[in-house]
Amino acid sequence: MTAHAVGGSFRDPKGSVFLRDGVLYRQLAPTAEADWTLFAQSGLLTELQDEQRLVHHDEVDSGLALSPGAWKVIRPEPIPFVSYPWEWCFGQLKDAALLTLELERRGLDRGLSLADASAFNIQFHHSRPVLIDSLSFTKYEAGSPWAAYRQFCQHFLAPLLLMSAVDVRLGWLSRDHLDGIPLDLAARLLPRRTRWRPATALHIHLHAASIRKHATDRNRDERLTRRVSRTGRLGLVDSLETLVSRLECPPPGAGWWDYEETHGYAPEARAAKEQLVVELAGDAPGVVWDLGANTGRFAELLAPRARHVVAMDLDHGAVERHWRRRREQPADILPLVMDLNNPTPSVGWALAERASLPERGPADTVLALALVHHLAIGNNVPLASIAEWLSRLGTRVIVEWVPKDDPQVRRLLVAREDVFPGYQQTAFEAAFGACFDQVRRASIPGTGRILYCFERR
Amino acid sequence: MGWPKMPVLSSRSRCGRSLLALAVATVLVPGIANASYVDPLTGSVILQVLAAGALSLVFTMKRSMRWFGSRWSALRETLRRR
Repeated sequence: MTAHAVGGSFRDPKGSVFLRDGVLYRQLAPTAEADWTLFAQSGLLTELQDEQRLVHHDEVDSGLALSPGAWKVIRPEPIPFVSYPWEWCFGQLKDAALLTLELERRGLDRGLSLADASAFNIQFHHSRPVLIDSLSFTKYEAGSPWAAYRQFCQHFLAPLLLMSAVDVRLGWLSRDHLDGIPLDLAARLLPRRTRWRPATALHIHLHAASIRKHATDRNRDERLTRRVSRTGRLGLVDSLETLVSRLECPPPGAGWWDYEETHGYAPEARAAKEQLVVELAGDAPGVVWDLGANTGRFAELLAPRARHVVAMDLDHGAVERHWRRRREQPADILPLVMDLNNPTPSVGWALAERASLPERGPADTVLALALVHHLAIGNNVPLASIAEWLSRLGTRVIVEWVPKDDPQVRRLLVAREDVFPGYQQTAFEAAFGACFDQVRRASIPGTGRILYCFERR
Repeated sequence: MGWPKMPVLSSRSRCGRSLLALAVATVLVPGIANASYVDPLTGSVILQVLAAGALSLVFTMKRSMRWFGSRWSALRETLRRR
């Protein structure tokens, strides 16, 4: 039997997450008993699980604990792919923020409160945000302020405001600031007009100023002992909810969000490509990672037979569009923003707190459709390196070869010198042949493009 | 002789004055020089304490308006049916 703690769960003294023989468990310390019992007896636990707002769990034998002294051991329902806030589009982050506020509001109604408001406590499952930290709820102490207020503003409000008012790409800032974007930084980056909007002025600008003003206090401020009424707490949550729900994703600029309408495929070629991809993926594609998924058309085609699909794309607009469709038509597809030229690395304490993209795999099937030319020509990555990288991500890879005379490749080369003499079909086959066995090859009718299916050796 | 006595301010005035001081601080106070000994919690809690009164008032008004709104709609609906 092998068991080890999961990186990232070491901060919570009330419970640690661990893997035993590949199964995820959570060990609850005796200090968690009072809050857990209150949460269960309030009826909120069952209610949230029934509404799929909180991850389900089973109580198991406490002998399975990782270390002695456990009060209880639970087995949470596994999340197929753990994603991080910087990998979410605006809509996903907004939905996660609204869920957090809803949980706090409903908790207050039952004499409970969220002890933390970390964005890492929310994951996406069946196209819905879900709280994965069952230990977040603690007893509400009358008159106490919301301990997680600053964390909520740093993890959710600051990135949402920056993405909405400045640029959606500022969502990437969360990758460098794992405890959320510092409010003084957010205040400096936000446009001046946000200082004149009451809610933004209060929750970001005044908040940052107050933190700055009292950051070096040597004596305990007497105002810390003042009470915040329950109505005040509800008012705080209501103010944040109103602010967040009014935030809009900025309209997309040049990008891939309209690729479905502008991809340049003739309808017959498109239909043939879709059919070929489904055939090559087979009846049981397992866990599928669609790299460069755009708005998720191929992810949707494979989803009915796949265990789970992760659809990654660099373009926020495309992922936003995909997420909006997922909200209307839920499926086991997770759209994510991912720069494949610089994918999520291992980050956090000891570089083990949050896992890199390959550490969260491998997938059973990787789709790399119309992607290789962007990496090879758009980013000068050698074909051999692309093949080696893809072999680390999945066991079966479906790759589209786009020749140099294809209009899309010619567009990439229109303003730059062609320094890619090695970008040839024979070189592509040799590069992939070094890591994979070729299972099948099929031309897409009406184009010079070829679909390959490779199995990792 | 001595310094003139400061007028005694009500709790609400003190909250207003603190929020005004914070508003000025957003413009004037420079960044923190040494972040190693920074306590981010105190400032956050103080802001929450200061803002709670106003937020509670706004929340109560919103809730009351919603309540009156729903009653008014119900009354209009009843009158329309008659």
